[in-house]
Amino acid sequence: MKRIVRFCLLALFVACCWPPTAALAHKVTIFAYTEGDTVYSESYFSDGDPVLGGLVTVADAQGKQVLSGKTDQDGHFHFPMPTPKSDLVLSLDASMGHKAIFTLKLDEAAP
Amino acid sequence: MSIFSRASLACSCLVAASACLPPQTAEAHFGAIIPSDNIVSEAAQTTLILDVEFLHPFEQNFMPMARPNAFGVLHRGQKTDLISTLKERKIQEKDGEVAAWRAKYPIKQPGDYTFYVEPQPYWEPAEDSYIIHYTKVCVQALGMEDGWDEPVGLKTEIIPLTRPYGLWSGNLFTGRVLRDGKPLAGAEVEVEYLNADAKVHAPADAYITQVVKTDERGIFSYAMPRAGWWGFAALSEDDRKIRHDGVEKSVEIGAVYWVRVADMR
Repeated sequence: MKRIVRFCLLALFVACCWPPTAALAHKVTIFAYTEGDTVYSESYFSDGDPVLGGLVTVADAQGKQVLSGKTDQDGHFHFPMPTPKSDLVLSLDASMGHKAIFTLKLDEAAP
Repeated sequence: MSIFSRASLACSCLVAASACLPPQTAEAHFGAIIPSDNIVSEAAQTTLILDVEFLHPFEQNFMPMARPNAFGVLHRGQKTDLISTLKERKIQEKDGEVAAWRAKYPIKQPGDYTFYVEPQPYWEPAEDSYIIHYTKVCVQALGMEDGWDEPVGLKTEIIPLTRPYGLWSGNLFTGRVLRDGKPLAGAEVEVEYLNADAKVHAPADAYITQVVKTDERGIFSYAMPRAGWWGFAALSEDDRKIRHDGVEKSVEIGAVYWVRVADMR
């Protein structure tokens, strides 16, 4: 029993440390930029296909969730820049373990 | 002057001349676009530096390149003219400076970026012919692997059948050669390594330029044995002639593609 627990802990440890850039056959990516006071995001699979109905959660620099929404049929989701302005972390949950994160830094937000 | 001394003078002239002649046959010309990186994985605000030049890649000899006729990028189905971003730079050669070109391009969106150049015709006296190399390279950004197999619509071009980035040394690169949009059968494809630090020594001239031919579908393959940049130049002769000193001369057109290879370790 002890051995199983130890193995599970090891497996969990390995899973947590696995680099997020590891190429998966169906890797998803979320990309975001701002135009004016609107934040635009685009979520896609590695072959360029859009992520449909993926859940995008937006958190501020302190990690506090500020809003969330779903991607449309083009994989797009946009929202007004929350106030006060801060760096944003956009997390995509495209179901079945397809997750991606994008950090939108204010100083490089303008395209 | 006796007949003998005249003959020996002619002889020594010949020897001197042939000693001065560059080893033309050993070198293949390549148009090139070499970007500072070919996979952009950091979000936005990456500015690529693109070197646009005309050279013998293995031997690292540069030919003077006039301002190209066209330079641009194809990204997600949209072509953008970048000719005004080209800046001339000088490269030191044995017998003086030669012109090459450099552009900066900021990557702001995901997707594949295919950069292309159409140079002005280059007069090559050694081949009694003009040379035009339509050259492409693909840069992938932010995980959206979409567009690398789209044609730009050049006079002649290589369409990769192998995704042209993320390649290991030893991988097989396969491409299809198009001319006027149709597969070009039986064409010679010259392959050269960009011997950037002149580290690789060729045991004989034949090693410098590798040669493969396209099949009846215009398809060729080559397995790259070393990490670095590899150039592929699929050659054919243009239907049109260009006048040189009042005489019509043939025009070699090349479809050139560059890929970067990394070692698996």
